[in-house]
Amino acid sequence: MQKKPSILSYSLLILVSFFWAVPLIWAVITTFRPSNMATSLSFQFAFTLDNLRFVLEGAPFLKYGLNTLIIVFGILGVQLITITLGGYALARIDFAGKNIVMLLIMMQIIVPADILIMANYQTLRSMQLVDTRLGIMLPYFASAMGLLLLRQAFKGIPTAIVDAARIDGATTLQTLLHIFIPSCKTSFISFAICSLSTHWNNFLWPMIVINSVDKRPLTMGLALFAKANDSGPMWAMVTAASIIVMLPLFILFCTFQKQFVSSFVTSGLK
Amino acid sequence: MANNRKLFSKTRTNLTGWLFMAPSMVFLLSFTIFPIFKTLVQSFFTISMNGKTKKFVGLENYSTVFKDPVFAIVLKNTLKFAAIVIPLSLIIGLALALLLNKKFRGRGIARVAIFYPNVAPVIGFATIWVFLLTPTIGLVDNVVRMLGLPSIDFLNNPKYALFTIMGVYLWREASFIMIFYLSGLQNISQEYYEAAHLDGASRLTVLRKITLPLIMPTTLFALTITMANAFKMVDLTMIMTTRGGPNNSTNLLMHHIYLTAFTYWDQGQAAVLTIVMLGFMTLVACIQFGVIDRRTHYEN
Repeated sequence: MQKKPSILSYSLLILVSFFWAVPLIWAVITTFRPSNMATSLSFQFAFTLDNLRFVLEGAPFLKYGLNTLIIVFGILGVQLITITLGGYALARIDFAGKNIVMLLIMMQIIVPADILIMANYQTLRSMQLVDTRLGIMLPYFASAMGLLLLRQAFKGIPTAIVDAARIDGATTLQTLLHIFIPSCKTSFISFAICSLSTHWNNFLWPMIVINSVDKRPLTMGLALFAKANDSGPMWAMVTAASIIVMLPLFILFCTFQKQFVSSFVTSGLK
Repeated sequence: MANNRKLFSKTRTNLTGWLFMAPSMVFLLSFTIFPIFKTLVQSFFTISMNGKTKKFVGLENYSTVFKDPVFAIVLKNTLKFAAIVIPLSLIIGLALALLLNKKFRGRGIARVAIFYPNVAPVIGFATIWVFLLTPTIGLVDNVVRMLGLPSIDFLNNPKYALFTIMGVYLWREASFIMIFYLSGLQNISQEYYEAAHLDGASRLTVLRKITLPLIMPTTLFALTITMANAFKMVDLTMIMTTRGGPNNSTNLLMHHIYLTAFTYWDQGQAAVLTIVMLGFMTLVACIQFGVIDRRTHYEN
């Protein structure tokens, strides 16, 4: 938060923002004007919803959207359980072998599951989970980043409060539910945002796991739709499909801008 | 008696700890730790086409991969990509942050306009960029020709394809790095700048002597993030190119792993390539832990 910018840096800023926004602006323009104008540079005014309609009629994007929702919330739901329990153990329970656990967690920070596509695919095959949505989710149920985030958050809760609850006869599970979880809301929100946006955007892994049309998530649906239609006037449809895929996260981001940015900054993930 | 009770309570604590840890450990072991070792083992074996018989071949997979001219190209591409994209993400990221770290009307809009590539799937933007970069009908080519420059086939000319991918990658990554610098800049006390202003220091001196040194921890953190991202990059080439083409000119390591494992179905070689990737990730980790060490010195 420094002094006001000079005219020069102000105009530079406007130029840069505009430059960065061009792909989005152009995509929106292309989406909402007749498809025969997709390739023209003219700024003649014409508005249509045909492109969006053709996309929604031509490919089951609503179904893809539903799949994406099932996948991202499925992953998040299980993650919240694994990281809450694990984070609590790491922060508050002095159990034997904690160092080894920490070492394994650090290994996942260094080598994310995204890289181990072949070995994980083989595991899914032996479990007969290829071409299932569960197969997409499984490798992400444990989150090293989430464990470390919650360990840090849980460590920050004053022992006095926990002791008081204990004296009142609260069990471990009760203190976890009534003290630890409510006091670490921001950490949970940060984690949820990162998890949702990472898995919403994931592309390579679903591409490997899924064969059936009706189990595709949005990213995969879009990629295949684009590959099938990447010529001339079809571009208007492809752009419209991209907009459909991007819109939900984009709206979420505009609504919760601050939370998004701060969770990306704390985790280093997007 | 007392000893027994102590032992009992210790066992109970261990048990609770492991019980709480168990759900995470099951998935962590089966989808990260076990696969690492499995990949290592597989890199020493070949498997018949039907997947039934395994044969120990020692370092043969390694020598096959390292002699493969395509691997040489892939490695060169990956290193070139990393060498250009990592420093530029940091430099452009910082430049954007410095530009945005000022009070002015419309700052919120400017931030969204620059940061938005990071909140939607890469796939969506990659698709739009392919459209923008298509010769004759694409916006970029039209602008290029309007300026009287020769038309360029950005994605199909092996000379430009990788640089085009870099450009699109930077458009997204630099604005991601920007948010780290924005939050880093806000932690620098204004007093330094006021003092420098009183001393009549030039803008360049302020940047060199105050901003850059004080923002060093952010730079190191951002460096490890952007390094890991650069080595893992695969989504853009999956959409914007055909199998890392033309002529493998955009084939990067992660994409090559994917093709080897799932298009050529060569398990032994894909395992070797994954090990190479693990090498890169370990390199990033070494820097990361070096950074944490240096940071503690910094704070002391």
